[in-house]
This record gives sequence, C-alpha cells and structure tokens, in this order.
Amino acid sequence: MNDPAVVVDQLWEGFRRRGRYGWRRRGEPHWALRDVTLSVGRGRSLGVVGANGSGKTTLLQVLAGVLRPTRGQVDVRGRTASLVDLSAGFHRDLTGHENVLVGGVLLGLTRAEIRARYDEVVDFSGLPADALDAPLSAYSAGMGLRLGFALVVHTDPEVLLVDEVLAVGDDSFRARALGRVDELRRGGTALVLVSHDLDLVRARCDDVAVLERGSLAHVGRPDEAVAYYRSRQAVTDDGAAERRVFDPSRRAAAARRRRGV
Amino acid sequence: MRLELLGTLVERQLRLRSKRSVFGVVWPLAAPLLLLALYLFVFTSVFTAPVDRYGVYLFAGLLPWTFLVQASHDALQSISFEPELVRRAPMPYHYLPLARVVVMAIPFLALLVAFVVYLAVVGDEHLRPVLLPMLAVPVASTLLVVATIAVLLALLDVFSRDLRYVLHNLLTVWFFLVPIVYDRRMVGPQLQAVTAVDPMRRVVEQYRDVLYDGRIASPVAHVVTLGACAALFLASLVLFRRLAVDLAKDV
Repeated sequence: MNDPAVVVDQLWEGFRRRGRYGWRRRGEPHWALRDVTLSVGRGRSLGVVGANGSGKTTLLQVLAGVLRPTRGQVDVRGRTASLVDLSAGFHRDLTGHENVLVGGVLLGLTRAEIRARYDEVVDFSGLPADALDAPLSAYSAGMGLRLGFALVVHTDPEVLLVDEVLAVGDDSFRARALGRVDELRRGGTALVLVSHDLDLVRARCDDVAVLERGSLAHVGRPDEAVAYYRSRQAVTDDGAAERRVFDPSRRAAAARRRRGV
Repeated sequence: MRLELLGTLVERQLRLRSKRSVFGVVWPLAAPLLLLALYLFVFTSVFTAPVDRYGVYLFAGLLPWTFLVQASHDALQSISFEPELVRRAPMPYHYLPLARVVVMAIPFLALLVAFVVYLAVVGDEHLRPVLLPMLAVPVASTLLVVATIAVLLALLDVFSRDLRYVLHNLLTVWFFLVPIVYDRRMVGPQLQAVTAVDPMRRVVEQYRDVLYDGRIASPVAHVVTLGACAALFLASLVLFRRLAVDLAKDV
C-alpha cells in the first residue's frame, strides 16, 4: 500500500485544436486534463467518476501509455492491461479465437503464454465453444466484451485499467468479473475503474476521484466522493441548460478575439 | 518478443485478407501478370518497342514496381484504419505498415522465383546462374525502399487524408519516370539526370542487370544503392518516432 503502482503528478493533457483542413493549430490546446495528481497503491483500487467529457477516458489512456503526458509526470509500474473501449481492440472480421491470440500478444504475452491460457480465457468468458470460431461481427456487444475482459484479466496485469465495461455484461458475468478483479487485487494488482455506476464505484473502490472538466475536484473515501459528485451534478445540471444556449453574438466575439481584433 | 509482435501482425493481416474473399491472398499475384499482358499487347502488337526480349525487360521492372504499388496502397491506411489497435496499448506503431509490407512481399518473392524458373525452363541464353545470388542485393534494396514509403505514407495518412486522393496519380507519374515500360536511354539526358537519384530506377536497373542483360556492369553500384536504401529506411524510422507521438489523438 505504501508502494504505489500508479503515480500521477501534476498531469496536464492537451489536445491541439484543428483548423479547417484538419491541421493542428498553434496556441492554447484544449486541456482534457488539468493538473491532476493522484496515486494508487498496489492492491488498491481507485474509482474515477465524472460527467461525459470530464477527462476520465483520457486519464486511462495516459495511464495505459497510449498518450504521452503533455505536462507533468506519470509513473505506472509493472505490466499494464486496459479495457478502455468496448471493442477491446478486437477486429470484427477475425474470429474470437484469432482475436484472443492477437490481443494477447498486443497486451504483452508471448504466443506460448496465450496458448497455455487460452482454455482458461474461454472458460472465464462463458462463451459457447462454437462462438470462438465465429467472427466478432457475429457477436453481441456483451459477448465481445466478455471475451475482451476475460483476456485482459488473464494477462497477469500489475495495473488494471477498466473503463465502464462492467456495465455491459449480464449479472452472472459481472459477479464473476468482480470476483476475478478481487482475486487480482489480493495478488497486488492496482485497479483504476472508470464508471458512471456510482453504486459499483462506492462498493468496490478504496478511493474515488471526481473529475470536473479535466480537473480533480475531489479525491477521497468513496462515500464522501460520491456524495460530493452527486451534489455537483445537481448544480451543473441546473446550469447546463443555460450555458448550452446557442448565442451567435458570443461566437462572433470569440472569433474576433482569435483574430486579435 | 518484438519480432513475435510483428509476426502476429503479419499473421493477422494474412487472415484478414482471406476473410470473405476467395482469392484474397492470391490476387496480388495477378496484378503484375495482368500489367505484363497489357503492356506486351500494346508494345508488341500495337506499337513496336525498340527493346529486344521486351517481355523479360518489362517484367524485371514490373515485379518490384507492383510490389511497391500494392504495399503503398495497403500501408496507407494501416494505422488510420486501426484506431482500436492504436488506442488499445502502446506498441511500435510502425509495425502496422511494416506488417503490410511483409504480407505483400510474399507474392513479390514468389513471382520473382517463378520468373527465374520460367527463364531457366525456356532456356533464356542471358540467364547466368552464377549471377542469381546477386539478386539478393536489389531484393533487399526493394524491401527497404518499400518499407520506407509504407511507414511514411501510413504516418502521413493519420495527419491528412489528402494522400488517399492523389497517391494513385503520384505513383502513376513515378511509374513512367522510373521508367518501367521503356528504356531510359530513349529519353533526353535532362530527364535521366532528374531520375538519377530515384532508388526505384536503380533497383529496376539492377534486376535487369541480372535477369535481362546477364551481366553486372558495376557491382559496387548495387551495394551503394543498398546502403542508400538502408539509410532511407533508418531515416524514415527516426522521423516516425519523432512524429508518431500521441497517435491515439489523431486516428
């Protein structure tokens, strides 16, 4: 617990705005994450909650190593496995079997390791054996996700990043998935779980971080953080309708500012 | 481990090519043969090319050229059409275009072997078996040039979609500049000077040295070309590493 698996120090992640032809413009980027500092100890779990567009997925992508921190430091120690989108990196034309082999190598396993664990992965996913020879395009969203999750939790991750995927599986799979996550955590795996399911986050996480427009608004015990997030949601929902009203004069003013007039 | 990743991506690509396609893996073999038939018809039946054994001359150039074209087209969207893979986990993204090059190299090498066997069977008097091992040099150069172009195209396509619309035309212009269908001595010295630095021209000439002329005027030139192609490839990798940052934001 004193030996963190994930350390994020003053992380800023910016996306360059694009001009008309898709070229990235100079100037201040859009900051998806602003000055985020947090850490997750071995065997601990951090829940991340926040509205759409608050930076949750970007945070996971930085932790996964797919995005480089624009500013600040990110230190993720050990093998990282992430399940960040529903497709799980699978190709829809390949069969479940082929996707597991390719996905396993991408996650850092050797082919021999995947072959050795293949039956275990399939068992865990609970998919019928003949489904593994069908292309992913024939799978339901839940089936593809179960296979993706089964693969990810069988790669011995030291850091496990999961984005909203437990919402798709049915109850029995969800129970099995959560059991496996607990098992991994007892073995020292750190978990970062992004979810809109506040009950799940509260029940499963040691700490919860609340993101608001890229900034860390609150980190703390699950009860407090979830209560905080709910209170903020009520506030921003009231303001949102007003803010989103289309106002041409504001747009024109913004355009003038950009031109420096 | 890294080789295993590349191997897995190659296997993935081969499997994808065979899905919902009867001849997905075989079609690349047809393209150079089709072009050969076409140009042979035009330049032996319609016009008369002032080149002896025009079929052999032509095919020695068409082989590496169709490999370049097929691999370029295939590599162009190898990164931008795989956003799931790019966002999945950090990996050496240049393996995606390189895997396409490896896949396309298979029909290229198969046709090259078949071509040599054909020349041997028909008893082509210019075919000298002692020179055949020297084919390894232009083959290596070809692989490096094609890999360079594949890596750069795949990267460019992430940032701008324009190449999708013009790649075909650019390659056609290059095709006639190399030249594949005529002999470069048939055009003026200015144009020859322009194409002097073209690695594909060098490579095509070297295949013709071995397969058409049956003599290598300057073995040193073959090796120099190989070195230059290796340098180009390394430069493309350096450029890729510098520019392929946060690709997940752009795919």
